[in-house]
Amino acid sequence: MRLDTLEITGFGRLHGLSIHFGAGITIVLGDNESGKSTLHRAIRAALFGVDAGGQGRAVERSEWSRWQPWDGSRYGLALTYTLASGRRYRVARRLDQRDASVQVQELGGGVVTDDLRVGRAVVPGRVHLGVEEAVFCASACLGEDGLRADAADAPSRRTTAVQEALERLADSGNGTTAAEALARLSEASARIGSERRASSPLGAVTARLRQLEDQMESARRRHQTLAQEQDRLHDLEGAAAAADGRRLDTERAWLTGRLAALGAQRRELDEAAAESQRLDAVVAAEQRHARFPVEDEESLIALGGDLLRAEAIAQAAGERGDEARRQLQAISQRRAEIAAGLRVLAATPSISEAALAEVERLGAALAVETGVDRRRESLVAAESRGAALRREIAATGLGSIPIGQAATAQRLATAASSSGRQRRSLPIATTIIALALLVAAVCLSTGLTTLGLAAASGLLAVAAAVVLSARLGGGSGAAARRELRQLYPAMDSSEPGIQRLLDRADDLISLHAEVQRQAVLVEAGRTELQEARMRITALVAECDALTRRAGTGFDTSGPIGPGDLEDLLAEGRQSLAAVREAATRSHRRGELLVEDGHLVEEERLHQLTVEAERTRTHERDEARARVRRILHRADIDPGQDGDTAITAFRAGCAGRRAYEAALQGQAQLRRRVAAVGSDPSTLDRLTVTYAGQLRCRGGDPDVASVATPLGQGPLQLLEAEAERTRHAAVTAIREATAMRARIAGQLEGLPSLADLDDERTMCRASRDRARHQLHALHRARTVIEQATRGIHRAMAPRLAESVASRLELVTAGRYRNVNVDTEHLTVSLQSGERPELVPLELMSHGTRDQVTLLLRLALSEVFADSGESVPLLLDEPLLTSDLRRRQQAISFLAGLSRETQLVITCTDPHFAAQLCAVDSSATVVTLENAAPRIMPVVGRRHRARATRAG
Amino acid sequence: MVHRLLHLADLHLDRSFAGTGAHGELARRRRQGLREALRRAGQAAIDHGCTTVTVGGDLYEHERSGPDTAQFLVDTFAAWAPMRVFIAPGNHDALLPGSLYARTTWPSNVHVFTEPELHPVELASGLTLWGLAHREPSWQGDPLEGDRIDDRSGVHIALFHGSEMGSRPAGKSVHGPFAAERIRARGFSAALCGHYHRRRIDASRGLLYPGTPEPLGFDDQGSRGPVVVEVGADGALSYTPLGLNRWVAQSVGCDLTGVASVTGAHDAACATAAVAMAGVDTERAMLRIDLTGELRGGVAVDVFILESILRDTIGAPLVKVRDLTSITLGLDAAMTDPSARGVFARAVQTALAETDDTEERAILEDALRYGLQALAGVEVGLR
Repeated sequence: MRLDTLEITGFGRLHGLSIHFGAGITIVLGDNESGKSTLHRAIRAALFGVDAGGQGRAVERSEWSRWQPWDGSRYGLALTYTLASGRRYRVARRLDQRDASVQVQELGGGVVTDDLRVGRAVVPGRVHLGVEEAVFCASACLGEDGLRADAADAPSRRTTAVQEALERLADSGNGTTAAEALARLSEASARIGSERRASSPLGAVTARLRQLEDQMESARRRHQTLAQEQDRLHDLEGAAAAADGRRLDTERAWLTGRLAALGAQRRELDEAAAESQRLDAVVAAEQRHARFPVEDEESLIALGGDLLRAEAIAQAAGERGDEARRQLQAISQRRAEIAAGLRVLAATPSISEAALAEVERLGAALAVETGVDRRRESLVAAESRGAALRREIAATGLGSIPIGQAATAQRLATAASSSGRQRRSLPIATTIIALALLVAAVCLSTGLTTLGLAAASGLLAVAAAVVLSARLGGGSGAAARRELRQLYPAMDSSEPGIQRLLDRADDLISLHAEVQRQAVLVEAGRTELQEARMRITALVAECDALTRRAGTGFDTSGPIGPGDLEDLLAEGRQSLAAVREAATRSHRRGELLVEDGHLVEEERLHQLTVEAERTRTHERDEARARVRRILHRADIDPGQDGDTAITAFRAGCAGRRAYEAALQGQAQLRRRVAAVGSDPSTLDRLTVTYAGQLRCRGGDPDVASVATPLGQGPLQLLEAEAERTRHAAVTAIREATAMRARIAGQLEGLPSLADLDDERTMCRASRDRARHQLHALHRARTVIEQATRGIHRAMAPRLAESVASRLELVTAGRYRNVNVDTEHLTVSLQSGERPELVPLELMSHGTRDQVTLLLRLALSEVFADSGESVPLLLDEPLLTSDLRRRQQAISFLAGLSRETQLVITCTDPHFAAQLCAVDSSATVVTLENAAPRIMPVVGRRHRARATRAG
Repeated sequence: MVHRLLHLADLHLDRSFAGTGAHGELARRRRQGLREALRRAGQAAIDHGCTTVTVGGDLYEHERSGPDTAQFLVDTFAAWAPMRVFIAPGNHDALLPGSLYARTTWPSNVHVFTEPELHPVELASGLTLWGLAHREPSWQGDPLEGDRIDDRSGVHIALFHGSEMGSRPAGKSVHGPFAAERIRARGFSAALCGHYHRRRIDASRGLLYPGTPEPLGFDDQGSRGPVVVEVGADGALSYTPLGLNRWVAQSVGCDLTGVASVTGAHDAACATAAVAMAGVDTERAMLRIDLTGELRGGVAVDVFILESILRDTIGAPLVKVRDLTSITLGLDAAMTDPSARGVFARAVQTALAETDDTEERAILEDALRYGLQALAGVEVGLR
């Protein structure tokens, strides 16, 4: 970047000013307070703007306020500059308002204001130079000591200051090194402390937190223990309440029983009084029965009962006696009838059970043989069928063939008939022979001799076979016919006869078979009839023998003949019927004897009944006599009705007993009243007392007073139980009270969990906050260290390269190389005379100052990523230098101006003249009381010009 | 016949107030204030002719409750007899073995719901209260799960601790989630709920959150207290919110942009606090001031000192200052700075962009702040 023109409308003490800068050195010459430094500031303001305050920065103390025009003119300026590319720009700023208006015009182009905007600010220096304002100030703006080689301070200190300046620019760009920043972070960490250092805030809060954790744990345990104690107290209170409830129950029960007893006593006294009155009345009323023979009551009642029973028994006996007499009469009549029957059946033989069984067996056997007639009828039918079949055979004309020979006759007839068919085969053989001869003749005539002979031979062989077969068949048929005639000479053996036999042979065979079957049936029927006759004869003999053994008197003396079978069967049946009749009569006689025996027994019983009737009547009469005697003793008319008399006697007895009971009741009443032992007033007083106690225990005295009174024993048991439960309740309540008091004591010293929790939460929050702060500080420290290391490593070689590129020029070739270390950016040089690197602080003053200036230039280049060279603004750079040093510096600046534009302010015209003498191209601008003037010619190519606006 | 119920919830007896910065004597005062709030609620119920008090859970905090709290509740509820008290345990006072509900012998006028599903209790002829209990601290069941109540006539009111998902405040934990539409769908005329600390009365859908009787945190602003629910003879319900809170919570912001000194920051915060506390009984006030804006690096506000100054100035026992300011450290410029400072800023910003972990982000943001302060040559102000 090369500055061309600065036009100041109003800026500090300068106004209406236009300055043209040279390409190399521009010397701004002026007295003190003429505005030289203001001019440098105006260039910065044009490139980077002016801070107008705000957001925590007071406006009145801002740069904008400081550089307001002194004369109240318009506040503004414009700067024209040219970049290495040749493009020219004009920056115009109007600063009348805090919100300055800026316009950047590319000369020969258009407005590019927005292109140069960084955030809200328009900063051409930041964009075109690539450096922050702070870096620009640190590297391009040098004060009066910037080039002073003979400053009063020690060289090492100044070198250190340069290195620190480098570090600050590299680390923060604003004058703070990373080491200082890390120290501030460490100091902040130290303010927090650590958890291990108890004296630090974090350590203290950590220790307190541990204490609180322990206290919380202890408090929780105590709370838990107390809760368990309360559970126990709860149980004890429950037990005490239950015991007290039981005490109340038992006391209520005892008081209820006691009141019931008192009520009962009171009622007993009242009842005794009433009973006494009643008994007195009874005694008075029954006095007349005082001597009534009540001792006879039992006897009379017994007699009365006996009499009633005797009368009832006598009556019943009388009734039974009458019936017995009627029965005796009927029995006599029946016995007479039985005696007559027995006389009639006196000659009847006795038939045993075995005989009767034999009768049944023989009867069954005879019944089986009853079907003999049907078998005889079947025999007759079979014989008739056989005869009919023979007649049918005879009708066939083949009757000459014996029964059973039909099949043989059929076979022979078949053989005989076959000889006829064989005789009919001879013409066929003749025909074949003729044919053979004909074939032979034809073959011979045609010359086929061999073939004709072969065919004729074959035909002749066939004819011979036919003839042979006919001859053989005809021989066997004749033999069959001869055999037929021999076996059945009566049969027609002619050809028709044989043919008839063949035609009816099958029917004949069937007829012969049926005749044979009928013959078998006839033979079997005859055998069976013979056997039946034998069995029936034996059965009839057995029947006759049985009849004789039974002695029935049936005549069986006739012999058993070979008569008709039915007759034999009838004879057997009659014998058996005689035996059965005898058995029936014998059974009837037995029945009559048994009945008579029964009647004899009944007769004896009825006679006993008649005798008993007489006895019961006598006993009744005796009882009546005894009753009359007792009634007589009781002065009761025995003549009156029995029931009435006994009722009167019972009334007398009741009166006697009532009298005596009343006397006894009076005695008992006296004993009961004596047993109560209290008078009514005492009972009433006790009742009132107990009722009050019962009411206090939740009972109802009214109910209790009418309750069923208990005995003395149960009442005493209740009283003992009440005493026992009272003691148990007192014990339980005492335990619960003691436990409650103990818990109350524990409650008083019980720490509040909420209080402890509050403090613990606060401590924990403080600890966590401190931990968080430590983490953040540590993180910041780590990142800064990494960033610094990276920046230093990247920047050191670039600085060295930048310085080295100008080193030979400014040192006239004495030094060629430079090294910048990456730790603290320490600079050392290499000369051609010495092999080792020489630290900057060991250099001569002049060399050191020159290198320092080169370092500033290098910084601006390193930080400027645009590739533009940065113009140097030097303010009184050699103010206090001696003549020799000044001459060296002038030579250095002249050499430097070949690469870098320099704007140098000074008050010494000689310095300007010296510089112009060395660099004839230098431009000189003179400021006089804020009014620049053109210097007289001090250089060979003087172009200085200054105009005053307005 | 008209029935009146007083509904309260989220009393949080024995709560820790460390989160608000209160501890020691002040925290004890706050906890005693919660007990007094319960007594005032009971007195208000009596004054309004209520026959029933319903508690929608979080009556106490199980972790810190003890026998003294149990005795206090027994004595207090017994003193309300014959007025009946119905309690539906919530997530902080879940019906656990060993909890106060399980260990305490309650007066006869107190009924603690014990089942995890809604169970009915007849309050009067034609008026039935259904309640349930959280039986674990992180119960996620639906309180309104079940079939519609069709086999019963009269007015049915549900009582439970749960999170109405349609109106859940951001970040509020979920316990017993349900939808407000289910209240009427299930057949209830209203659901008397607890869990949300801000009062909400939605008569159209029958949803009622009374809010905490006393503010528990700085966000619990405004009038608060139990709500009287009146059931008319026709079954219609009306709600009368009561403002019984004695403590007041305020949370305000204070922009410190342009403040050039620590004293200026203190003055600005005091002025803001004075405006916020105007007309408020500062003896029972809790104030939170969020410092915002951009401060120059040299203005290091110490929040503890500022809290002390504010307590002295406005007389509030509990003042909490949150430093949410940013320091003018030229982050934008630093991001393009070629120096180590720029590399540092870019490295931290890159790490911030790459992480989703909240804690890591907080560390990185503070690391950026501290690092830029240190590189700017100013004292590192810890926050």
